Amino acid sequence: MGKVIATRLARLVATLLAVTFLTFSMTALLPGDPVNAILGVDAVRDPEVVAKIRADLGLDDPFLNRYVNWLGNAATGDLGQSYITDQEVMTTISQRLPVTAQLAFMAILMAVILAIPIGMLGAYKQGKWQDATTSAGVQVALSIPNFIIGIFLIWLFSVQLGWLPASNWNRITTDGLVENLKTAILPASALAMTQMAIFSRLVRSDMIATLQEDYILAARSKGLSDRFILLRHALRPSSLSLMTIIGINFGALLGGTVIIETLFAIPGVGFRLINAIYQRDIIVIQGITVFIATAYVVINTIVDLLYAVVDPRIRKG
Amino acid sequence: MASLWLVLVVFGAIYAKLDTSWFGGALPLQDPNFQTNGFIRETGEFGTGQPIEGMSGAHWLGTDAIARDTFARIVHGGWVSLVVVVVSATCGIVIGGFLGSLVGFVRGRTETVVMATVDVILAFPALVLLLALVSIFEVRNLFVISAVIGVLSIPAYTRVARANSLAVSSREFVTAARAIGTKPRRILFREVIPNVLPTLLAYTMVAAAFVVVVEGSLSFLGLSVQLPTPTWGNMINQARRDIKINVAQVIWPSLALTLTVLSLNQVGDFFQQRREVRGSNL
Repeated sequence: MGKVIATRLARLVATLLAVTFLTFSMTALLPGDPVNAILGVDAVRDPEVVAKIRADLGLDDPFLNRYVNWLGNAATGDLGQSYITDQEVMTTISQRLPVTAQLAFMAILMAVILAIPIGMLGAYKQGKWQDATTSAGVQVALSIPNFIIGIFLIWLFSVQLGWLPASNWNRITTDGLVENLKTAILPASALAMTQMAIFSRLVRSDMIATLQEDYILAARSKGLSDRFILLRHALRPSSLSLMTIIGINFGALLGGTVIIETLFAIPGVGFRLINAIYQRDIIVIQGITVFIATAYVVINTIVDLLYAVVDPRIRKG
Repeated sequence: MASLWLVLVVFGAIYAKLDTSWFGGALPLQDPNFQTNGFIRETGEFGTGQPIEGMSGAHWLGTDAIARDTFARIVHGGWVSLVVVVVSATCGIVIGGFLGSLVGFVRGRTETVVMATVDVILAFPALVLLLALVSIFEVRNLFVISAVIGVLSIPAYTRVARANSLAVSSREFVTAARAIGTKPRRILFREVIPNVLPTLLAYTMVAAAFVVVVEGSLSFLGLSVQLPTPTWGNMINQARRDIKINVAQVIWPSLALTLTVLSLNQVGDFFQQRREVRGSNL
């Protein structure tokens, strides 16, 4: 077990180094002088400001020195500061992260809760009309981009029915849970739909395989009810692959939150990233990208490790 | 059904492109950027079109917020998706396919280096990396967008190609070719790559569906090709602002985008299933 953790952690560190290096070198890819990109080409040139930015970014140092410096700062939680809003990138992220995390968590939860019964139904009634209908529905859900789902949810629940707000965000801390959920449920559903489709496909195919195992036959011959067999014996092995796919899909989910937060004007990390891109606020783009990528890599490692904890075969191998 | 829709979209996109760039708009399809309520210089009068019209004989799918023909914009919108898909598939198959086949065949240090690079790029959430890269460019035209998406497509293809190349390279006919002294280069090009290609082509469909969604998302965020070039994503984004007045203008481009992704997924599934069946028969 210790050895598994050690290799995974070593790999984590290597990946993180490479990921941060790649993100950092994107600023070096900027055509022309980075100062131009930060100030805008048309900006009035105050030599003092230019000199300050050059010094801040250490632009006169060699590239590798700059990277090491930046990495050292990043490791201590200093991702630099926006030249447009003057806010520390890390402060921005820590203010907005709870919002994005809540959305992502709710989306995964909703997706899993919906996917398990849908997938089970498909597997249990394999080849029958129930399977055909759910499979077709899942295929369609898989093919609708999440922003389109979001727009039509807004159209139905905000414009037509007027039940839920079309945009904005109420915080749990100031507005209470109910108000918060009112603003969170539509964007979370939009995010959940694609995930639900992926998960239920997996549960279905997994369970079809499991249902052919000998121990299911044994359970049947003992006279256990179908319901008991499905929930107790057949569902459990699927939870492992479900866990893996949640980890793998987390990246897509983070990408999705960027779009969905923009669509619903939700003050999360993704919306800030898009605004930074519109304003060409390089420091913020770089900071948020590194943060999201790091979060993604770390979460995948945790899922990997959890997998090893749950499944003894991996622990030994 | 699925392939029929894809053929329609591809044909429409090419037809629309030919119309504007070769025939100067002489072919029977309306100008996607013509405002039907705009000032007409020749007559000195304003056009009679209305913004956000419903379906009619003159405008099959109505008009958008500034009275442009929606049907023409949807047909033209397919062009951007088509170019992005073709560029990404070409980059993926040619570069990714070659790299993957190569390292799966020769193994060793080359494999370690290439796959480590691939792993790092795939360690990013795809859309976030794409957004960051796209934000570097001040001018975003079709060339830049398809080039960035094309380059980012390579790692996934490399991984698929390598997995298949590993399997193929351990098969009897490769061993046989080695035994009779065939040069490695010849084995790679004559034995390994031809056997990796079919799987890669099946994967292309699935990748294309992803690429269409990604370009649509970029367009939707206003970070793909610049306006007024029509894309399904930017049409959806423009129409959603008037969703309280008219939902139909959101529905048409959404339908075009969704049907395309659905069709690509179905065709991809079909090919992959056939590959598996064929693989199991061997």
